[in-house]
Amino acid sequence: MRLLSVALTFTKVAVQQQLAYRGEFLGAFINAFAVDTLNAAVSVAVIYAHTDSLRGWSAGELLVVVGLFNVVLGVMGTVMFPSLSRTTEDVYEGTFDYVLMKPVPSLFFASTHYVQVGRFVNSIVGVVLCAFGLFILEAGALTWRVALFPLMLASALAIFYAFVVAMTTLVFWAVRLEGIESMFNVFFRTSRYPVDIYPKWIKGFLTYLFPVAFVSTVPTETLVGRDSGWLIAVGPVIATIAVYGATRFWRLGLRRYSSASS
Amino acid sequence: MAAIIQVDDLVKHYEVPVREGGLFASMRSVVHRRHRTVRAVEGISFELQPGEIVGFLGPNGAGKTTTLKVLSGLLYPTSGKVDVLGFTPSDRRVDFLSSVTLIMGQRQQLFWDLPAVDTFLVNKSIFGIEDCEYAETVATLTDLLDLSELLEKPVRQLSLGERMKVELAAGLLHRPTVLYLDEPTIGLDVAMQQRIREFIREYNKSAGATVLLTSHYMADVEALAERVIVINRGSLLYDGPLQGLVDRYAPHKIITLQLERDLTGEELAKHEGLTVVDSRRVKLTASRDGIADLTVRLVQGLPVADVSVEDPPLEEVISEVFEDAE
Repeated sequence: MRLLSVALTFTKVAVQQQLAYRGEFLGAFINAFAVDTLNAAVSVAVIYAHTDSLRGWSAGELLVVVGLFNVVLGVMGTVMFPSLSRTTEDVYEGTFDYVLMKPVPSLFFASTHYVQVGRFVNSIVGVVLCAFGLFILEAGALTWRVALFPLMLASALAIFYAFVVAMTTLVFWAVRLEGIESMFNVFFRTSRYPVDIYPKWIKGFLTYLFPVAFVSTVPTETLVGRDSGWLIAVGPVIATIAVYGATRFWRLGLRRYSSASS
Repeated sequence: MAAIIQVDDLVKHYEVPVREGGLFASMRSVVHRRHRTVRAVEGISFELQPGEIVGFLGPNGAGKTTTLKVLSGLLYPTSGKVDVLGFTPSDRRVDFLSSVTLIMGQRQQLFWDLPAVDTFLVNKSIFGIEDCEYAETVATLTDLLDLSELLEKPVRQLSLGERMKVELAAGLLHRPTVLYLDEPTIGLDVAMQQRIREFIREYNKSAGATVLLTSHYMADVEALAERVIVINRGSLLYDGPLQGLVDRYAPHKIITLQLERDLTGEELAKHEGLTVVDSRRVKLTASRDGIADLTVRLVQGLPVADVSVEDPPLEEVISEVFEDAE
């Protein structure tokens, strides 16, 4: 309850600030819209101008994948990404000490304290793309699996979050992270498309090692009624393991910070 | 009375990678990192009683900040025992964190682009401060630190001194009873330094807070602390009253004479050790023993208009302490 109110305060403060700098707000807004959403929507249009099916995925289904990718990207880009990226700066500049002096869990603070409101446009457009995709699909084909969709979406967010946390935690060992961040972005953006379209070995990598398959492909499958087999059960398991592992790793990082820094 | 802060044989070592110059050495260090152990704190012990203000002195790299960070719970001690308000700081319990504050003059916690009042609101929510208590605290701090014009301006528009005042307020909203102040007046002009000092004393009195303060400005220490702890290279050199430090390490005083006219060469030669400060003013450093006789002799033998006998500046005493330790 207390943490929720803290998170709301962070959001309130960020909204006030970013509305005060309308130029920046608009910039972030346009950037989010153009780089991820428009880009994805245009690719879908281009692809299906030439074919009706991409490795068994129709235009409507692909739109749902792209939409979901944007929903997840919006949530992460609004809160977790900017906050954790600030955290790496805090560690670099030594102001992370102030984070540790606060009587709230450090990972909570590190994941929520900086909100970038404009980024939420990704989520809104993502929902629109999903709806449009489902509309094209004439989503009468919804099955019982739809009930699992919220769980799948939550797993998607959890997996992504765990990876960002793990990546951020590296800052306790190697203060500069630019290379790792851009590599992460490249991998993460593969989830704009269903993992089926990639060669088999990449698909395996994206399902089990760097499980972006669960960010958009599997939730879409539950939503549009495609059979993803036992992966439905694997998603939440991977999410749980990933979050648990990331939290443990964060604690290890803190221990290192507390014993190895001055 | 039970001690608020108790430090027993605190040791803090940590490792830093050794970076060597040159391309070859850098490439080798990627594969084979070499480490060097920094012995920041080498077994120090002290206690602070409730309501005390203690000056924590030492040259750069003496281990002051490291000690403050251990006391704040930011760093784990390598060995030794630390107790603050009955807590082990590194456990970082909520009750502990809600009762202490660490304010570093060189690092700020305020959101740079936002008015300070927004950082205040965030801290209010994080520390779970009730509305009425918050309003009261902000009113008191605004009054004491003269903040009324400052809270609504984006922090980046504030001057260094203004920012420090707001920084102090942000660190005190939860009314901590233990304050660690690391160089709180660094870079500020004399008037602002004085302002901050007065505020610290005021807060110490009104809240009954215990304060451990490091500063390079001896004026801070003289104005605030009756007791000082001096460390060098991680070891304790002195712990006791400020005056005791002066007595022990500066067994001499400085006599300054204001003269009615300039001295002749002959007069100067007659009194050994006299240095001319400027026109009609001379100085003499003399040992404490027999200072009275010496002063009388000078006053009788020279055309003296005024005389003062003082301890040497604390800066000199301190550097004496460190030289002594080498």
